[in-house]
Amino acid sequence: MKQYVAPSLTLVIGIGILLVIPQEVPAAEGEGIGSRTLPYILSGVLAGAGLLELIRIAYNHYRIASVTRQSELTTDAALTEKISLRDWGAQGVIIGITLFWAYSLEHLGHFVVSTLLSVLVTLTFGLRRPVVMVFYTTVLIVVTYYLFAVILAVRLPGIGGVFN
Amino acid sequence: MIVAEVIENLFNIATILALLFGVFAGLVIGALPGLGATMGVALLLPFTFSMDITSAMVLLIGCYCGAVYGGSVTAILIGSPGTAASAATVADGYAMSKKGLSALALDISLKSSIFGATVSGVGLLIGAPLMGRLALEFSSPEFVLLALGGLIVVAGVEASSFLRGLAAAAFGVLITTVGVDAISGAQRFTFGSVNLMSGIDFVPVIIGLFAFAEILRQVSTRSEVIASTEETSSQPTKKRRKASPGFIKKHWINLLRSSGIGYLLGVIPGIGPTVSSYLAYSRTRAKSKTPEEFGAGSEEGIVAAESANNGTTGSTLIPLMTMGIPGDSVTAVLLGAFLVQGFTPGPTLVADSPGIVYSVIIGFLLVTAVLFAMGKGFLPLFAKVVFVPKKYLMPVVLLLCIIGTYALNNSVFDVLVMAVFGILGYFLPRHGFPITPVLIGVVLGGMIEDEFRRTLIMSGGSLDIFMLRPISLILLIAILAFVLWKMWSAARTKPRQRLLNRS
Repeated sequence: MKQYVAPSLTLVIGIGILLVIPQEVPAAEGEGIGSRTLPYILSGVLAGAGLLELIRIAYNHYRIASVTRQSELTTDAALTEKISLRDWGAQGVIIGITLFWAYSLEHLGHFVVSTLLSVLVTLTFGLRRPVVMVFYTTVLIVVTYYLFAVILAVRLPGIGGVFN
Repeated sequence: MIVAEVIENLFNIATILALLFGVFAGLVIGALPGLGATMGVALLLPFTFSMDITSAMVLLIGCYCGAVYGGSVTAILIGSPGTAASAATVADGYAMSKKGLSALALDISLKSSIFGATVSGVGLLIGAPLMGRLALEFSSPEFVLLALGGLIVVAGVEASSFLRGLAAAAFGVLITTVGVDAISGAQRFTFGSVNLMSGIDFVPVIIGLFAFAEILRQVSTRSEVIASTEETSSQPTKKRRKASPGFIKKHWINLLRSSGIGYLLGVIPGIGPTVSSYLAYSRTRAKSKTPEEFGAGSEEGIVAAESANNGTTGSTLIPLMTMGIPGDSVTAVLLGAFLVQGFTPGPTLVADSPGIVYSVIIGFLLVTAVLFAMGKGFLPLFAKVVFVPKKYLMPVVLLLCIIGTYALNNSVFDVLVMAVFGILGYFLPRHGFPITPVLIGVVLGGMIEDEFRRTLIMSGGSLDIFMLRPISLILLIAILAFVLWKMWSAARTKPRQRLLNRS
């Protein structure tokens, strides 16, 4: 049944956007087409593609089931490949530290948040030698700061608001 | 006048440094399996914000070409292609490596790549102005159909299911409708957020879909290094290390045929270097006097695959620069770089700023020359890059993703957008949705809506205009024919065969 999940979600998202358009897109008439025209067309395409894909999979299911054993109903290898709990955890760390970086940059500054990010990411990827980690992180933080804040003139706060 | 402008644009310290760095970075990124040309170009995109247009494009094109060649290094040394474009090189390149001829295979690969890229560059020099002149005949209806056609072709080629590709493309275009509508002033899908009022920028989307998603994939793979180290016996030995002096004379038909295939297929949206290298490989095997050697270490096989995949690199720039239509994910990022610089690729760019167009084209040829020199000089270094542990590489990539995205507008909201699209870029392919149509949709969405509006203004609101203009009618028929062909071929494939194809 796994192969039905993605097209079902596509259908639901398409219909969801179609329903949201009247609230979220004012019916302003522009020149040529109104502001709602393209969103309506695209969400219609999304919903339509999801529905047709569901029908296609169901039809194939029926046809395959009629010619072969039910156990052969495996689809894309990717769909059957499960994400382990450890992988979810590691990916969660990467996403979490990225969000933390975004929310904390102004408060803690690049030197602190990027150091935390580097340490957590290297740990997640399996680096267990503290001396190497300290050296590596220091070089990484200094080089990225010099590259972006000094050379490319990006407004990257080195020291955050809480330290001022 | 143009010559002077080209010389001024290209031969200055900033551009030369950008060129050298771009090629070097591309070679390193290409040599790392999993980190492809698109990711490399996406990671370098933030560095171009403060550059002039020529330096920016030379940096990114250098990275693109370097990565396409760099992919062959791992394909030959460890049998794992650095980029999908080098997949056809694996069969013969790795077979030669196992015989202790990896240095020879790398030399053949380099020379074939340079030949293919040079043919493509010369073709770009000749083809771009011709196509630019043709594109002057195009108006809004043609641009709408060209953009839609490009999207549909990419959706059809990239996805295992055409419908999923189409859904991905629609989703990409839908993202561009977020924000204040430029014509009517209406706020669309902003949900009361101030950050969403200016819309979703394509740079965080690009970096998220290609770079951040790759980090999420790499963190869930067990190996210490990105490449598999289980067979490293293929280090260069003291056997024959260089292709024979008469290399070009010996393989000239194969080189020309394969580069030509690459060049021609590169112009068509959605085809790209992967398909062209396989096609050239199979054509060469069909024409070869020794087809039995293919897959067992044939020089002809490497020549065909490498000259074809590099043959596409220049020609993919033709529809990009003359019509503003990217044919694949890399050219979509390049289009983004043009837009960030305030230039809109298309016939007006060719007509109004020929100096910039020719600077990019000549810059491409310079990239090819630098690629040859670097390939020759630093090959042992790039061969070692394959074995850099992920634990050292991935924090650099992640920090570049985050700060590079932040650098766009000094906005942490962009970092959040990047993370969201990174998660999408991880999950969408797992469920059969290709990410290239999403990217091209995001880059072209604004243009499609604007040109569609202009078309309807021209026609007084009637859609008949698409059938009344000869070029747009041809494009419309071509799009419909492609859609019908995809549906017919999907219906024709037996379900069991489809399962076998997928597995």
